[in-house]
Amino acid sequence: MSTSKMAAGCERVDSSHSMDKSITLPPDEIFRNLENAKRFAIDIGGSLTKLAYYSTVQHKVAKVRSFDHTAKETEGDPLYEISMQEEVSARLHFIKFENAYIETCLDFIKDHLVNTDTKVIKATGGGAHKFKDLIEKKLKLRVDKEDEMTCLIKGCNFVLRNITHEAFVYVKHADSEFRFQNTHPDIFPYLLINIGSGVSIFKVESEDTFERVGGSSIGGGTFWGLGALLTKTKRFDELLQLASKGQHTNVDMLVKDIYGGSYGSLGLTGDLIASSFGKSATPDKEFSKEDMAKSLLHMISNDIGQLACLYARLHNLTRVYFGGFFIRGHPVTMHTITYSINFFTKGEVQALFLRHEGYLGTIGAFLKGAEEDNPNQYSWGENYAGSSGLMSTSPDLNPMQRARSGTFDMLEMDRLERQLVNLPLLQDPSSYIPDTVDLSEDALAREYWLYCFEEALDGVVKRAVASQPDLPEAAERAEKFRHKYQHKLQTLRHQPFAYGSLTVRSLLDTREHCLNEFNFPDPYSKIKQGENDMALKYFQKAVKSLEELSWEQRQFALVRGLLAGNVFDWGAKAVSDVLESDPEFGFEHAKLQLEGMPLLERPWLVDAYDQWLERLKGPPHKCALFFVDNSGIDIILGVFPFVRELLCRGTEVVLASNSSPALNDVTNSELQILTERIAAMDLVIQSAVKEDRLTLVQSGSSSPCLDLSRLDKVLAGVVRERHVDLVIIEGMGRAIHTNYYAILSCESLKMAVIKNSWLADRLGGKLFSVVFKYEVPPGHKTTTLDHVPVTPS
Amino acid sequence: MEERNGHHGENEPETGENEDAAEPPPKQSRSRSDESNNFGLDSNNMETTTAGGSATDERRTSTSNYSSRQRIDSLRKTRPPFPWFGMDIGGTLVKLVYFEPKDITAEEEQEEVENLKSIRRYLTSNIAYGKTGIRDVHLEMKDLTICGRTGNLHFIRFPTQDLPAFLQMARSKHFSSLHTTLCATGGGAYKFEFDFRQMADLLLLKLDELDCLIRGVLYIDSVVSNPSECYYYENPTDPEHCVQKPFPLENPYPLLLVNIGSGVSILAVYSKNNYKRVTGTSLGGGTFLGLCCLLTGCSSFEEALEMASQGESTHVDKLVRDIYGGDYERFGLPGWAVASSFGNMVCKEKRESISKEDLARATLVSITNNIGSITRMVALNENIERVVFVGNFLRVNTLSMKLLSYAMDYWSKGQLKALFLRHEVRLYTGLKALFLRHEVRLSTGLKALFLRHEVRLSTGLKALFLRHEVRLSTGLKALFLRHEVRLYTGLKALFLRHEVRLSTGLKALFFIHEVRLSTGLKALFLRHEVRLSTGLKALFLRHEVRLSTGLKALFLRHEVRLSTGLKALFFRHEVRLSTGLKALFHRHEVRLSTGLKALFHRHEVRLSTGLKALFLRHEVRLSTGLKALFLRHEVRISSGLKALFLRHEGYFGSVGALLELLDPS
Repeated sequence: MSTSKMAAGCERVDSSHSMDKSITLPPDEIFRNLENAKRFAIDIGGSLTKLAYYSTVQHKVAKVRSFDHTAKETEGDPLYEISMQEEVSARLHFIKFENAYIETCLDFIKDHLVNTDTKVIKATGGGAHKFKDLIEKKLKLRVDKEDEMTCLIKGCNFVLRNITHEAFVYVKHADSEFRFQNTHPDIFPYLLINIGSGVSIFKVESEDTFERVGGSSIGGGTFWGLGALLTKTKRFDELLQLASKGQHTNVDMLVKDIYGGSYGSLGLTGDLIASSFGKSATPDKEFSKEDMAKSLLHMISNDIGQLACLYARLHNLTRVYFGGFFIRGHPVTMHTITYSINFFTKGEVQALFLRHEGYLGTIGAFLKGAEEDNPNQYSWGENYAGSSGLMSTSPDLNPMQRARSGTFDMLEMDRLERQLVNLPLLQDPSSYIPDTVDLSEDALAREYWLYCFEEALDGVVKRAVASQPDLPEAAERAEKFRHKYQHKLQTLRHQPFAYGSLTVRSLLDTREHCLNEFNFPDPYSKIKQGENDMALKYFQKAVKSLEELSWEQRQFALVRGLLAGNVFDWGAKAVSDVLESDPEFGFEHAKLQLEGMPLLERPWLVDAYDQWLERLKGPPHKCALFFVDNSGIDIILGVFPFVRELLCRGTEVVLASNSSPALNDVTNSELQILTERIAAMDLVIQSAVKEDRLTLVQSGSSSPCLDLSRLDKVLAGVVRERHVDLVIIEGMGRAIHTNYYAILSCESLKMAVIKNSWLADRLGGKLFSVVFKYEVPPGHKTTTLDHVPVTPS
Repeated sequence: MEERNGHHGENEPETGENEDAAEPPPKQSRSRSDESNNFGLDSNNMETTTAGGSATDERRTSTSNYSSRQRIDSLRKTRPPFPWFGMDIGGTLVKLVYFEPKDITAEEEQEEVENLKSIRRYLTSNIAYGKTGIRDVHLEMKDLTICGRTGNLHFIRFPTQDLPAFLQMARSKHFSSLHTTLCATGGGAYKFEFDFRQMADLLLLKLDELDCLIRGVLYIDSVVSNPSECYYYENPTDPEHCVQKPFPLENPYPLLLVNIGSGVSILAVYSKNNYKRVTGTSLGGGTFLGLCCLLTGCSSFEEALEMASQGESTHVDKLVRDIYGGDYERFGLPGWAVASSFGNMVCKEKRESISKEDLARATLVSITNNIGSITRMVALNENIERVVFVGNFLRVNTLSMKLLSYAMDYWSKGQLKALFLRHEVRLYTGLKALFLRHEVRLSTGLKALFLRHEVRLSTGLKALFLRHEVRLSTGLKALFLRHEVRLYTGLKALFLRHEVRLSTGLKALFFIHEVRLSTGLKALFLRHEVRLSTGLKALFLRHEVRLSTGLKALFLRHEVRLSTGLKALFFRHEVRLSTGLKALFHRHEVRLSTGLKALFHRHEVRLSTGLKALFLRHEVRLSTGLKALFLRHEVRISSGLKALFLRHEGYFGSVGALLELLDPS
């Protein structure tokens, strides 16, 4: 059944162990945003309480607004104005703490709760009954009980749908113990095995369709209860510790104890357990506590694993998730369950565990209470800044963090403004992995990138302060940001698995989350503004010089221009150092610098330019979807001329840019203004905008990287309607760190200049190496090409 | 099955040599003995003599044995010398069966060496050997004829840990001088092979444990009739009316054999020589005793059982009602069900308030229920309805047997039945394409139905691919039906493959097709109708198959209505199968209205095999507006699984070993 069931009657005994009763973290860092909190839910288990509430966060956003350009513009006027505005967004807070703190926590909430609309608190878990009066008295809220299992499944659906890398496979002794799973576009059907005091097995077929298909009375309570009788050890955790030290072969009767060896004809090896506790069937022998605990753990894990396999087979399911207090992040039980599942299914079924397993009940209860807000209608995202990460409270894993936050664990989720879906052009959405390198499995790469991000921190802090010259307390906030992000990097050094697979993307995203947390929504706004202004001045000249070239020369110049423009990237330290020291470093400089480099001589590091040129000699594409990168020279002098040529060829173009700021990447609202300005100077662009052949869409992202499985739903609609047959992805973050290996069902161009010497080295090139990858899906007919070699050397 | 051996029951006193006088032998035996009373003393039991064959074969041919003399001679040559033993050395117990010949002739008596006599006397005149050896007198099988000899089969057991004492005795009685082959099975046959040679100068003939087990079960069941070897508990859910009832194991296959020894092995037996070990669990009799020893300090199985019978497991276990105050109605869990075995023991106060008897009872209940639960799942997965429990865990353990009967019955009711269902729907209204794939595999006993169904509709491309396949195999009769329609309204042509091809130049098509097939007694009526009006963009498809093979009849009805103008598809599919007492109703319906962007799919199979009923329900609801897909399928059986038991619980392995000695396979 579940944790909570443990509770009834014996709560005090089992939860009042030697816990430090003081809260080491200031409560306002735990129960954040309480002022606007509403819709509370609580899940009280045998030892842990999980609280959930919905709140709104007020934070600053950078808005850009076009000036009125009807009047003749004067030199030096900025292109657009930037303003900071307050915006309200929705956030879900989940906090997990030991039952011992419940009263302190309720007091704190009561003192800080401003909102009085809330009348009800949804409650689930066995302890909900016991603490009902206390909650009602303290919070003056009516406790409304919800079915525990229903909450559990609702919560499970929610995390599977909204949190990337929620599920993982546990591999003991591997370099990375946690193998995170790709989120399958369709999360159903699955089997959920909840190992609480007993075991419940649910088959979940859709949001509303699930069934308890079976269960077993031999579960966590059996381990605990029987273990307590056998070893006189009272605490569950202590029992597990005993078990991890024991030798089960002293207690269990193995096949070799009966056969002397293996039972060959049946393929049963000698080490297999033939009879659990078979050796203890004698009145006069003593057995060690450790050995008995280990034998008990094996017996129960194997039994549950076997039942799980039988149910998975009967219902023809391969996705099997395990949860409940027996599992709850305990490496010992995850290992024994995994072992058992492997044994009984011969590897056909994998045991899957969830990062936020402990929160499922409270998330479900919360969702039950928030049905009128229809939370399932939105997409949600894990906020890395406000979430503790996996194993934050594990005693043996992270002493540093544990010391800091006591036993409090937090999860925060932001409501995204847009609903996110797969890019319809992904060849196989279920096997798509955005990230090129998984840093959690590559220790060298992890070491480098963590160092890299730490090195860059000073610059980011400086930039953040500079972006808000009018706000005196900006420096203080920036320091807070530095502290927070540094702490995150420290955490990730020890627990690279904290937020799923560690990737360059997740490091970048974490930084963006932390910046937003301290109200630095767009540190690069001023820089972007200046660069856009400057680049616009060159636009007409650049177009003119391109038009003077022959067709073939022009095609090459366009690609080169795009690559040169892409060098302007504040996200790359090698470039930002130059830009910082030489503000005059312009487009021409870049081209010269690149031209001066032997590396720019073709062949490039990855060079499919000839195939691309051949393709251009064929019929035009119907519609190109272009994921753009930086603002300034990149977008204006690199991307726009390229787009212009496509439009001239008769190809429609959809420009996809970030919904919110990230580094110096051009945002959708900036791009709108830029397009307007360029249209005013260029007839091709103007008519294309007018005739709707050039469209701007938001990607739904606010990351310097790109996850093609989480894109704005509107974008996906446009892709379908327009029959996009070419996808162009530009820049290191979107085309190298992510999507380098993404396979699309249409033609694609991935272009980037590698502005990081380590990465260049890894790919076998040097700094400022060029990747120009043109791919045609297998079996796809183009007029000129059958096969395009695209693999990097 | 119908023959002798019926005259000893549990309550029958030990009658020694002249047991036949005690009560009249069964009728058939007597008539046989009349025919063949020229053999020896107990000649009335000597007539069953067939060379080579197994015990059951002997019986079948025994009534007309004019040339029996010859065969007996040959048998005598191949027949191994006495003593005849079969031994099963398990992890906890050694099970020994000993055949005591009662038809020894005077001549034989003289030839018989003293050792042999003393062994026979020692084994048959005692019911206990040493401190721990026991002869299960109530299981003794009298007047059994094996391999041309008649005698009594004795069942003896002792703990595996006392094997050295046994070997010591064998040595002191000069067992090895008898030049007998000792057939042994079980793990100990391998583990202690060296000890047998070293300590008692005995060579073991090692035999596979499971082979012997199955051979033993089939043999004992075939020779025992009264009281029936196989029995079950009637009304297991009602303690007041729960009674033991004989169960005739005629045509026992397929059979799930659950052997509960120290551990548990679960075998699926499909025929005498065809079986597999499906799975097993380490939570068996050894676990019960092991845990009981640790928890209560008891020292024997009997003691543990005795304690268990006086205890109350609900003090130790946490029940559903302990958590919910009553039933957990949301999921249909009764309040009395155990939610967590030993769950109450996490509490210090409760740990201090329970008795050793309670602990023994809780251990017994949790081990037994767990075995029941795994068995039930295996029965569903393997699609086997007949479940037989054997093994020494059940010896004198009525508690567990009743619990198993109860659990198997209760939890299998309304449970999902073995079903392999594969179903896939993909609908892209953007691309205006529908892919529907449907597969049902149903195997009830020997009957199997394979249904494969595929519809691909792309109204954007104006193409319809319809593929339909039914494979039905009822016993030896098989029907293969394959049907394919391809429609390209863009090209204004319809191709119907295999059976039909047509082109709609006139934009309208009426097609009627009928096949009648009569091969011997089998007759097949096939009716097929397609009406297509591409002008109206509507397709009506009607398909009917009637099959009458002797007592078997199949009605298949199939209908597709497509109106792309209205963007609606109605699909109806029905199979009715009547094979003797078995009936299958199959209903299948798809409704697609892309205008409303909704698809309703309903599928239902009802199967009635004797007292068992199977309901299959299948439903898909798709609303592409909301982009939601609901897929539901359900099979339930209405009658519970029956747990069967055998009287000779743990001895089948050793009986099998004995049979191997007499008739090597």
